[in-house]
Amino acid sequence: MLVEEVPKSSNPNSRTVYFSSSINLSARSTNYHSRNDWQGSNESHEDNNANRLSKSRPKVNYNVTQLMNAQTHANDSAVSRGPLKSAQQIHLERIITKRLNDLIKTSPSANFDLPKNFSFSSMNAASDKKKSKQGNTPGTRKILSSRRTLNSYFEEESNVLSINSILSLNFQFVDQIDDVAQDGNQNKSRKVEERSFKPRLKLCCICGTVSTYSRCQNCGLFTCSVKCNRLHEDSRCN
Amino acid sequence: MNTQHLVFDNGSYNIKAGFVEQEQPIKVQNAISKARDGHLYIGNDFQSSSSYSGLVFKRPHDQGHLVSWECEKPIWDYTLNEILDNKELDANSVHLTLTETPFQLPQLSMNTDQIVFEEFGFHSFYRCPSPSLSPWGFSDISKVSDFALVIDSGYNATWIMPMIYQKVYWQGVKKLPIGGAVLDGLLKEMISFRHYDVSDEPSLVTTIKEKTCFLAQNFKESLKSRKSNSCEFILPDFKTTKVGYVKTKNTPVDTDAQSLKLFDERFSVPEALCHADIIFDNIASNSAPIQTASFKSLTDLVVQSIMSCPEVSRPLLSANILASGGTAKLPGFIERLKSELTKELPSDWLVRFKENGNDLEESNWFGGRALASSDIVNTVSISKKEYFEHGSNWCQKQFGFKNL
Repeated sequence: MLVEEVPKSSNPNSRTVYFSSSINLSARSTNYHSRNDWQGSNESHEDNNANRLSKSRPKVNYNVTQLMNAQTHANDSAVSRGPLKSAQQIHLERIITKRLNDLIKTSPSANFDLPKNFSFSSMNAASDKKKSKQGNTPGTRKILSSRRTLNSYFEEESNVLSINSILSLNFQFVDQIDDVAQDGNQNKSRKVEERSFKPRLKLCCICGTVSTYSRCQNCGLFTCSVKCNRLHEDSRCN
Repeated sequence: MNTQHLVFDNGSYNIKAGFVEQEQPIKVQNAISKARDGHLYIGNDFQSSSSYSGLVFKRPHDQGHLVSWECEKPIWDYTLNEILDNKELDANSVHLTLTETPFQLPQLSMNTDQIVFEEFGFHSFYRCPSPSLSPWGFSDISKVSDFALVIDSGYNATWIMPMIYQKVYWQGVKKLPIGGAVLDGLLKEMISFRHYDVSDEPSLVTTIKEKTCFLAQNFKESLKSRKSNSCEFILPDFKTTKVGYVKTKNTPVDTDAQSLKLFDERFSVPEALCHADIIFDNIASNSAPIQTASFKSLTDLVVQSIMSCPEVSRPLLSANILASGGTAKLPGFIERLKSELTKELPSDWLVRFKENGNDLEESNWFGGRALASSDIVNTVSISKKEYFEHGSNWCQKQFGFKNL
């Protein structure tokens, strides 16, 4: 199919590429002109025409990413069925993410904002004249001043496949809990194969040595002796 | 035209950067830091500041993804200035080799492409996942083996990346979301609970980790003999030392110097790489899934990664393992992995860690240097002209990952 790319002028940075069929386009555009002739177009049409011809031109828009997603989902039944996650698994993943983020995060005061137009100024004068300018092109200016978070980028990403493959990587190190009814024996045998039993490392939460007791009923931490248990009840057990 | 080749290993902790001709890369903290008095420092500048304590860092990377360019741009400018020694960069004649995290969000990679070409205006550009450069890092490029398994243990995460014929085998890429940052957090928690509150001193915690932590060869044995594994870390007093140091028999120590006696913290913290339960059992929580979940260790993931590669290549991969990244510099890291892998893999497979003599943290940079100085790089690069013709979507197609 012959297609022509139509740059969407209102949002030059948009990832979405709009295509319109050129066959369709030529047919319609003559149509448009002829209509113009005998009908006498209204104000807005005229304005649009003056601004940018392509804008007023009737066109069929395809969002390529959406189309691609729809296609992959329709074709690949395995993807749409997907590795179903049990509610427990989702809960577990949420806890893990939270814990890891808590560890990485430094104290709350660490979140400071950069002043506007913060840039590096070196000794030589040549770079000083560039200093005031933030971004050479509209695209880079937008990137340099966006101050967006990773989550907002994830929300914007429309290709579900790539999000899935990025996010699932984080939980490769956790054994899947699959409560979901498995279809076929094949899955079951695989499950047994993959799950190798590993004893948990039980470390006392007070002194760090190996603990031989079970978890504290209240908080789930391990302790190794009566002394540590008492200390733990006073300090960490809430 | 004579093109210069610049290699930028854009790690989430340190930038390793330099021209191909350089002997050593320049290491710059990939962060903007703020002192207690509100002064902002870019990159390594904080080291010259008087108020070393209470620094807070803002990093452009979030979970390994390069998110915040308003923060990264000044750091890059700073780094380029360091490399060029205050001379102006003539980007038009410079080829850039840049690394990113494997599986970076495509939108963010495209932002990078835009900045590289439109803001800096480099002549040509090659972007790749950082571990994929490591296999090139041999002094003789003909010695580069066709099969390599890279274990890149960085600040954000540990990546296991099989490389077959110098190409990333995406199906085999595994990630352990535990890296230097998580270890820092864990050490911070332990020290804060047992000794002093260090939650406001991220750089001190990192220093303590770098100077004292190691990966035990036999964790339970080490735990039993933890008294003999103890060491004393002298905390900075900002008169004689700004960062602190480990006390040895020969060092004269002020009688009033504050010190930190570390026992099992030294190896319990890095042990999280092999027993992730340490991380999740260290907090009070009463949720059943986390208490019963079983976690894979780094070794399990390496085995998994090898097993997901084509069958003929598996023994070849296990015999060509490369370690890289800052966290791999933990003493005992390679030895521990080697002994565990030997136990896990079939007995007739050779488990061999290759060493190329480079500093592990910089080994990706050295790999990039070797690649950039050979002609191969020209076949994979994208020039500015091509970029302006095809756009960043096309760039992502050339450099990006393939969906699994």
